[in-house]
Amino acid sequence: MSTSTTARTVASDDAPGWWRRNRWAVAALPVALTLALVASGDRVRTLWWIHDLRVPTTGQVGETVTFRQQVDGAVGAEPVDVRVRLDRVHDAATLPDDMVLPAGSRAVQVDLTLSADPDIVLAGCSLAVRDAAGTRYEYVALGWGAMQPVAPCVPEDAPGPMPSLGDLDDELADSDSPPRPTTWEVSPVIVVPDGVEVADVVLWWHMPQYLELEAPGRDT
Amino acid sequence: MSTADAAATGVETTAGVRRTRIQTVGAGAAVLAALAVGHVVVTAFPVDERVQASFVRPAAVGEPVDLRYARLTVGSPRGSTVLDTDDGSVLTTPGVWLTVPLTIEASGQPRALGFAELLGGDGRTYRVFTGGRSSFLPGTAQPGVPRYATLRVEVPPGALPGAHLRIGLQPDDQRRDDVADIDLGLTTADADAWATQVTPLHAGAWSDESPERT
Repeated sequence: MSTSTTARTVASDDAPGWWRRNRWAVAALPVALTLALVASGDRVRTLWWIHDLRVPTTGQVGETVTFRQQVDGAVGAEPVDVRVRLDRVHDAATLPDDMVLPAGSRAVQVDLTLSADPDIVLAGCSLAVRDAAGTRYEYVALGWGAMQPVAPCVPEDAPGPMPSLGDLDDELADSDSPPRPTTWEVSPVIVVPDGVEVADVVLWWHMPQYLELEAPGRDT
Repeated sequence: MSTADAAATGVETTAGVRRTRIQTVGAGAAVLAALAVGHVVVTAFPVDERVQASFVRPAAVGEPVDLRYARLTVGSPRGSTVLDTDDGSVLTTPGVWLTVPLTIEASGQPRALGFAELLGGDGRTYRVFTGGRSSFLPGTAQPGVPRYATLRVEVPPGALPGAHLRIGLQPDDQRRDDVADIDLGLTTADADAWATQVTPLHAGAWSDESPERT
């Protein structure tokens, strides 16, 4: 072996390899890829995920369920803190005034018992029933000729406080409205197609969280 | 170190520097090549348009078309120069009022169809909003309860032959979603007849009662 060959071999052994020279970049690569996916996935959440009922709080037949959520209002987050029991789901014996059912449909009455602090804002709720396939039939306040209460989850004559609008609250306050009781019952009516068997009742204030109450008697 | 050793080491050092420079230049060229290829892939092929394109569901008049969010059936279109909006207004036009009855059967959850446009046979697109003279306002349909609505659009007669009606869910965004494309089957004879028709068309509000029953 010549002297020049020996020198080349020593220099080659001393030089760090590609993996060693780029070890930090290689280590950072999966982190960067993960961050890129998470960053782009944020649009999935903001544009799709939060616009439907995704996060249930479930209750069995006859169970009183506590539902809590922070709902973003005009002047900050307001708490929803309510206890709900589904008493009964049945065909409405009497229709709301002036309601005319379209052909091939029927009216289902949902009897609920709710409890909450009178100061909690609950007026912005939505209600629906679902069949076993998950198809959702929603409560419609102004529909089919009838005028039902705008909010299906609070007493019509004592709905309690409205969502805050800041300085306008005093101007808009209804001094004639009595305070909402701590426990009350409501019986909103929902129009569904004939033949639909109600599997559960869903109640929500702000998607994606919602309350899912199993309808009594669906297995009988 | 002998003179021969020093000479050999000097040669190796010079060669190593040259190789390092070649590698650096090569890596830079590779990065530029990758960027160039990426640019070509992104711009030379209509990837974005294909990814974001609507799922167009073609159908004809009277033929139900199943969309992700509803089943839609378009009835026979009618035309005239006079339109009775059923709210006390009678609208006339130097063109043609076209009315199209639709039956909407929502699926999954209540749906409010909010997009409509007429692709005219003259190559122009006539957008139909939820208000104004040309309008499509079917409201929110409960699943399983058919919703009957009438679309009205004001167009020049030349737009009618070969016109297609497109109906979708979101008013401002049809990307990656179903859009019904209905061939209205209109001819020049229809356009000529309707352009001189003075009998008012009736285009009232939506209803859950079938027009045949009312």
